[in-house]
Amino acid sequence: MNTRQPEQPDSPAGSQPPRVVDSEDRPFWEALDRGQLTLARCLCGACYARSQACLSCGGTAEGLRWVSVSGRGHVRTYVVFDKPYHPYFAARLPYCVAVVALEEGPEIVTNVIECAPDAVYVGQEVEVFAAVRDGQVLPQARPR
Amino acid sequence: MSIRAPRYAICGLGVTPQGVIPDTSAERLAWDAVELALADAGLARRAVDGYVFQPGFGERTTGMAASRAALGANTTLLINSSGATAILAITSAIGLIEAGTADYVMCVHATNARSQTVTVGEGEDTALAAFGLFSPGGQCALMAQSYFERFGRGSSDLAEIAVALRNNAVPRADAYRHGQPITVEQHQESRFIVRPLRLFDYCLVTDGAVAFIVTSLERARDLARPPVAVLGLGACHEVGQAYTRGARLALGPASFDAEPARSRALGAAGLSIDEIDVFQFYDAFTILVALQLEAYGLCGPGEAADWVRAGNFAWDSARPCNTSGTLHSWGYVQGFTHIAEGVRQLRGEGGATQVNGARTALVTNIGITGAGQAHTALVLGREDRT
Repeated sequence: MNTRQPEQPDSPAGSQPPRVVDSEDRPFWEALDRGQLTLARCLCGACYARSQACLSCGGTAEGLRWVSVSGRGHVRTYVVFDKPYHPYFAARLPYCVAVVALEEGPEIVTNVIECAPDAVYVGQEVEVFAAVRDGQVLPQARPR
Repeated sequence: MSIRAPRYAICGLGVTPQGVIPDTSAERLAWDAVELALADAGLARRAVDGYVFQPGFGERTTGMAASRAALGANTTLLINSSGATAILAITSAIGLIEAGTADYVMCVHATNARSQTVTVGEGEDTALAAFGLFSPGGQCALMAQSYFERFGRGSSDLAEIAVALRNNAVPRADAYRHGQPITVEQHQESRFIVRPLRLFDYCLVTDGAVAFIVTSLERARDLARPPVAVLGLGACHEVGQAYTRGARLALGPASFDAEPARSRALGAAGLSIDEIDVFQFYDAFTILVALQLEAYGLCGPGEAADWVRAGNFAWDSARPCNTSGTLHSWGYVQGFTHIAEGVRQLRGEGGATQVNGARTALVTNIGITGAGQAHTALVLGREDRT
């Protein structure tokens, strides 16, 4: 998939908010487009889902290497939107937004899908994977 | 942190009516507040040579009020760290004075978001939008769910805080929710906006403005009103670390971190939390109040609701907090709301909710942005505070 900033999905449901692809984070999205979840791992072992200087050892972002990960994690916290803030999501109420802690450490904002919003809970074991939502590839979580 | 002799003060305060003010631009509201602050200080308009402003929701001010009011403003700063800005306006004003570019700095925030029927967070285009995470309320709901889980709390606990905030506004003629108490039951019946937060966990959106003037303590002593001294300032910004894709949450949803701001502000003032007479905590959402009561050590972790339920927080209790009802029930001028109330309490102008003999005040601000959290703290004091 060709990536632009911000991306404009070509699908009929292209009215959804576009994912934001930074030049520094392009490897994350390109891997996701190939169906792989990757994280940026510092020489010290700390992992991030984006390019950044290391919070653990203070190393530069140049020390990061993108590596494939399983996507296993758990729900650290979540909310359920009942109020529409965007037309695309207005048709999808109520929907769940969660912070998922991946086994490797990073916590990412995502959606728990394949599960009713009111069945989501803190501590729930989930798998983050490359999901195609109306033509746009996003990291999404599902129960495992 | 070393104790510092106070060198700066707030010497003038202008507060417009708060509420629904139709057909009035934000710039006009800003100008009104500027005129009120000038009159309050008894200061010549040309003497004001610095202007620091935060644009609000609704129409965004451009600083034009400075020229409408014919201020002598040589230096104008637009600053915006969301809800954390007002205290940073003081920090910036002191910086201008220290740098020698200004002697009297007007700090202003105005909004007509209510009349513009603004829904805060609607259509945000942050990196979180693709996941449907919109609005400061969405961010704070994540904190609330985590807090509930960690401490076995729930929505009815946050209701205690909403009721206490409202109770402080009820006697205040200048509060938007004057004379309108709410109950825990009404909170529990109010609709969810972003679960687990309900409508009554959210603050107001109103029209209005606040302006205040910062100068040296020495200059402030020559003006019309008793100076309110700036005793300590602190900040704790985690912009970019929280809630962004892949960052480990340095400021986790359950671990609101006020420590750098708290210790710097109280340290510079040379005061312990027990020596603060009145508190004005940033209250865009009830959960933020709970987290701050605990972070500042007024109660133990997870105990905020019990502490409030026991009668603390009320303006006439031993621990008076948010004595005007602030953002939740007084008016939405972001962090300027809390500074205004801190100044009024220390000048004995708190009206029906004046705390007897208040000599020291702690004021906090919080900015919730798509990129992270900003927390700022301010200690104010009367000159005769010994």
